[in-house]
Amino acid sequence: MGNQQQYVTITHYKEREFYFLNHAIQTHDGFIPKEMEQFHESEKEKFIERIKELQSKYPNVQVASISLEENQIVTDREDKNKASAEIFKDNYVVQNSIDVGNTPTTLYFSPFAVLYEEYKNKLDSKLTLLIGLFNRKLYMMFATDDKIHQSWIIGTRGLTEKQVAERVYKSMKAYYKISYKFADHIEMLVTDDSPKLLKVLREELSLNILLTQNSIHNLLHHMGGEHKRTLSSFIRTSMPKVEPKRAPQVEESAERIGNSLARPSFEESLAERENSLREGFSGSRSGFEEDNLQNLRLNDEESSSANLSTNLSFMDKIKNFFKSNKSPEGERAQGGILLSLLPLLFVLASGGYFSFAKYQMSSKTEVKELQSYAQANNSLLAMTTTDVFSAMGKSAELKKATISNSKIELKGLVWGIEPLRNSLNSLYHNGDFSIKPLEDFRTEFSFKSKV
Amino acid sequence: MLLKIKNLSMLNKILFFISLLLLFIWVIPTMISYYKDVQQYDIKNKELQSISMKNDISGEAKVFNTQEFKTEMEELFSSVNISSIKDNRYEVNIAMDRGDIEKFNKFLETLSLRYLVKVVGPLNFEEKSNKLEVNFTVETL
Repeated sequence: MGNQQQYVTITHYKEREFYFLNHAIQTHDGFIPKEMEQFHESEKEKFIERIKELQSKYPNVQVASISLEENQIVTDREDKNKASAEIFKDNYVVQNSIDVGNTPTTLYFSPFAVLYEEYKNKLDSKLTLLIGLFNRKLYMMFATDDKIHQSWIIGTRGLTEKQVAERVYKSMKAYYKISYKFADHIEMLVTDDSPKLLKVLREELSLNILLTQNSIHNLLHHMGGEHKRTLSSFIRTSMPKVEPKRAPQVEESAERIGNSLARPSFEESLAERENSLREGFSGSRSGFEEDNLQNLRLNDEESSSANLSTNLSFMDKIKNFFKSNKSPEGERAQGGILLSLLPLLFVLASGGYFSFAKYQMSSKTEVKELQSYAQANNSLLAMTTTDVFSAMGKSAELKKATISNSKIELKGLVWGIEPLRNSLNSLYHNGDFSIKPLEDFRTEFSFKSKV
Repeated sequence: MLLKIKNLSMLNKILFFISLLLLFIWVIPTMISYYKDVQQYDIKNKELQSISMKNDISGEAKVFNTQEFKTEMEELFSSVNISSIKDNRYEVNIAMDRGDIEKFNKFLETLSLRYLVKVVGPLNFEEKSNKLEVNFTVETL
């Protein structure tokens, strides 16, 4: 780098709805970062303007960004049809395309490359698990000094720090099922400012874990700081056979990314994906083993697109059932069926609900009606009884009576025949009143009437 | 809108048609019937509450329980016997002094406000040992 004092790296990336921008002056002793700037996605034009302003301000500039997509994988073969970067001997990071959303970018790095760059000097013949936590995703690599053996990405969105630690442990167990090897130690690079996560990871993982914390901007400034480092790591839209030490080619390739943001075709068939999967990495993994890794994926909306390294799981097949038909007609037809099923489901649900509610309410109403009827019936009965006993008064003494709301039958002893007859007849006009003299000079009466 | 419906596939049209059919012949009538029942329930409930208040009875009628019923009746009358007969019916026998007939009438008048029962058949009165015995059958609602 000839004029390194003047060399400036501008770094940016998007996290959630914010763009984060930073620039740093590169010197012989390292880079000097300036203040970080933040733009809401609604201010994208302002954000791009700011990058252009910085580009025009400094003569020798590189704009670096990081690929936080999850459809990237470390393979041992380059794929000229995809965006790829050679990060280590025969290891390449491959992803379908570069998408920086029309934001000026000359250097595009994979977290895997950043991770490797961070720890390459620490690798030896012992298996090391390198983990990078970038934007709530774990980028994981099992590596030795001669090879990267396995890589995958796990989402951590919505997980607690403890659950993240558990997933790291599960990843190790999953890798053990594949290779029958445990990582001798773990190196972890955390880009988020999360002291709690660091603490929990130290506590939860019993293996020796070494943690490094750095910002994405600083990592990118480091990656873009030297041409040699940059050349060996940045993602090209395809992999031209270049002489790594020819600096102008960096700029040439970088220029191409920045200007055209060329996107290779997404139309690779599933078969091709699976093919690249099998050719891709170790080349001898069974479906069972791959499932173990696939099971660790979490919260990833686009996990099906990350199938470069694994077979389709059951959940992915379900997702693909809804996603696979890319033709507009097919999508419209599926959407139409779903759309017309919705009212049917709604009708069935509301019909079911009201039927059940009506059944319950009918039962309750029926009980209330019966209760109301019974109360009326009882009141009437009580009134009849009151009338009968009032009518007898002191003129008679009841011995036996049957009283209902339809008829009365009375039998007893009478002392005042006429008053009793009159009072009973005044209550029940068509009653049958009769008397019968008894042997002991007393008189028995009986009265029958319909009510 | 009409053009959109026209452009739908046959399957979608059938599904929409079934949805509409179910909505009009099942959901809406059920919904109307439900709200009528709710209205009816409220009316009956208010009626009964009003009668209960007049008789100084608070709360809803209880589910009939022979032991509870017997205990409560024994506080009012000389003796109370309850025996179960078939079909949720119970035969009740109460013995009381002649002077307690008004108490009995009051009890009868408010029986269904306090317990979910109705009196089935007539009241049979008989004088035995200077006590007036009344025998009747109740059925749980």
